[in-house]
Amino acid sequence: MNLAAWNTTLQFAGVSAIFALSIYASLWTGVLSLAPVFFGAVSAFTFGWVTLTVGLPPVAGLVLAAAGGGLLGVLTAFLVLRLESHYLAMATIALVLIGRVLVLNMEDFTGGVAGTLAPGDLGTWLWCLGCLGLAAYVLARLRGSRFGLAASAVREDPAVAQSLGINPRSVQLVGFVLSGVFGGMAGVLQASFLQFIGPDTFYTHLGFTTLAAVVLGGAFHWLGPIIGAVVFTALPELLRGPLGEFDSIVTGLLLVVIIIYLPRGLVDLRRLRLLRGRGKTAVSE
Amino acid sequence: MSNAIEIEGLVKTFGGLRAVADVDLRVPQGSIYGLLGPNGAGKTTVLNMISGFLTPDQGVIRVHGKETHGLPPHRIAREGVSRTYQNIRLFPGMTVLETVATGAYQRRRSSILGAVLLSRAERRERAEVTAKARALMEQVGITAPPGALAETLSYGDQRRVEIARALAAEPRVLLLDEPTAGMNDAESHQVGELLLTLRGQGLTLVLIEHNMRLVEEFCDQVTVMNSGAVLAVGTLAACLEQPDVREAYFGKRSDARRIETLRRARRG
Amino acid sequence: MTLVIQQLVNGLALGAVYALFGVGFALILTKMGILNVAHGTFATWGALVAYFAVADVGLPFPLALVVGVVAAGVIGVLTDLVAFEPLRRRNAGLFAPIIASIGMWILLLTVAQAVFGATATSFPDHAVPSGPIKFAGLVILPAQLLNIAAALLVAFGLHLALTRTRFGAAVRAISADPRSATIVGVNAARTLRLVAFTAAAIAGLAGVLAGLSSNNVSFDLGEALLLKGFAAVVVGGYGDIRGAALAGFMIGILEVVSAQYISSGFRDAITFGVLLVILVLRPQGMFGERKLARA
Repeated sequence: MNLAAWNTTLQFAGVSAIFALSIYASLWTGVLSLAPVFFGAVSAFTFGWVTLTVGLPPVAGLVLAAAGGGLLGVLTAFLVLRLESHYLAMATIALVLIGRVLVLNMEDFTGGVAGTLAPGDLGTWLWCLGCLGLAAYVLARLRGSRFGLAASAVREDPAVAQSLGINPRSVQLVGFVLSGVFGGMAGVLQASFLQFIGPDTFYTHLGFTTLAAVVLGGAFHWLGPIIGAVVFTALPELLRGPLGEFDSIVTGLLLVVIIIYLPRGLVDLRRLRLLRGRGKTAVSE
Repeated sequence: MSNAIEIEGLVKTFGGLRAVADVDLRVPQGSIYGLLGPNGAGKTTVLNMISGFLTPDQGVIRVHGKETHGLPPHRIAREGVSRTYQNIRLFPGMTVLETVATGAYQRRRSSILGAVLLSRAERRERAEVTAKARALMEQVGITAPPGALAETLSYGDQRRVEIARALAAEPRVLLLDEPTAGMNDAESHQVGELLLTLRGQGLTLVLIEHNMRLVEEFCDQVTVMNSGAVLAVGTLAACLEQPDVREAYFGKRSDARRIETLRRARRG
Repeated sequence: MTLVIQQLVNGLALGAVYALFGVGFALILTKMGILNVAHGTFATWGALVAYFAVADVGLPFPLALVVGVVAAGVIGVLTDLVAFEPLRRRNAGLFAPIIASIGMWILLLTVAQAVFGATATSFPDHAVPSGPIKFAGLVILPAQLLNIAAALLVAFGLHLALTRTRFGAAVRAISADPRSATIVGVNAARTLRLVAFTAAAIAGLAGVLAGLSSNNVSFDLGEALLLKGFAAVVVGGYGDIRGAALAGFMIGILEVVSAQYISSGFRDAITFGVLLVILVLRPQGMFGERKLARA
């Protein structure tokens, strides 16, 4: 693979990482949600429309999409948060399915089957790393905060969290808002990199590979999804040489192996702490 | 003296089985109150209804005069009720310090935005919470370092972390479900002393406890339950005067002891 | 009037495939507590194996159908052994099996593409009688009858097996608690394998019939079925597989009718819209109980 190809691949890895953080933001509060794909679709097509048809500058489109994503996150939360975990996951998958149908049928707005163009102005390293950095910074700051501790508590044991005065629904609502903002940003960047978006750009495939990236990297620290996304974007490119078009065999295999043998992913703070703890006792003995 | 908890006519049925049948309970404010009875008597079910994990089928629960039955657990927690668990429930992956700090959730005011921008209020609050968590760790007698994974601590220390986590919420009522299970006599006694200190700070404590010596030494009053109903109310000594209490409770105490010995052997 | 009845028949025949698929999907979801996304690929494999049994090996269609169904069932058992059994042993919770099943989905689909080559095709014309049956002004294809008969047979058969037999009792015991089931003398391992086989074999059957009636055997076949089968399970409810079957038929009718009277473009929009409305307003489904089994 030549340098230009690597450049493109890594930029896509950056966008995938923002999508992965969007999934992580919900997962942090104990919600398995594929809604980020839906958020991405809505924001990407909105971005295409406001920049090319309405004539707003691309940066305004990005800001609008991020804000709109947050709002969509709130709406989605109100719609699905009453459901129990299995149903909730299903409802977000249903949202992704419905998203594609909407894209297909709102032709004036989305271009229908043919898809639509999007300006490539934001498809640069600067915007990619800027948005990724912003998302990572927010999550890192929240980690030890009141919200961060509550989110982890709700995820690990919602009943105990409740007995500490934490309302799981409101913590998860915040998770959905973060997820919506990140998903909105990722959708716009994806559109700007591809410069063309269609009904299949934001569909189950994106959702499942992004989820796979989160699981691989680790869903218990914000660094995990980023590393997972980079590995998951770069690996197929590396494997394309030896395996040809069947590189996804490794993707699938990796996913099964990871969830069975490394269920907390590559970046696992708990394992680190365990090791560190053991080291300490060894010293004190 | 007014009551911290008042329960009238509490009923809970599981699939036709009456786990709690018409229970009344009055816990005076600022007391250490024991909930006794053989296994399966319905003690934990009562505790679960007070903290809101279970909704009573019938009956009234008042905490400091306010009706709480039917409220979700987090609303009851905000009325000043905290608790620990019979089967320890710590958050996997969290350090001791994080676990205790999580308990302070209700006492913190910082916003999402403040946390992201790391405002001065946020920094001050974090420092306060950390200091408070460390103080609580010391008060309950946790010897492990604050950065250790809570789930790797000794059994007794895990129970103490649960108590510290509950206390971080600054409750007015603390419910303890077998706080000394798995502890040796010296450790149990330490817990008893801690209860006295907390009572001195104005807390009301309700505990389910099998260790009779501890109950005798530290509980102001007890309620003895059997098969979901109240057998006796009063001081331990008075309750033990009643023949049906002796029959129900001491008949089974050998069981409780045997189970406890087994548990210890398995753990050791 | 004839048109309406004709549409109903077409809808039933289409819905029969959804019902069939939904029943197997529901079996795994409700009894094993696993949201198995790879279930669609079982249908793809069933259809592809049956196709190659007919086209390359030259087996008669009924025999090829059996081969396809058994192949799908075997793949289902392998999936269960490789992906779900280790998680079950670890008591890994709700999310892990979903993720493992995504991995199996990618894996099985790519292997299928590698083995069969990535071309869409259809069963040969002589596979089943293609002459339409004319009856009271209606035109019914033999494949349509086959669909409906298969769906009814499987749904009722499975329901009876689950409610009236020792197998059903074993499944209920395991779905309540896999560990204590073993204690009361249920052979948990064998029952789990049998459930995995049955569910996947039904998916395989749905795949073959879907390929037959749409004249299209391709790698997307399973995914399309998965989405509709998923809708059928959600709409029908989780407690009872009859709900999934009934909802499958309803979705088929809804699709045919909305394509006829509204717009064919909105066919899927209506199905998924109903799906979302049901999820939000009545998450236990139209005919279902409230609780899901735990993984």
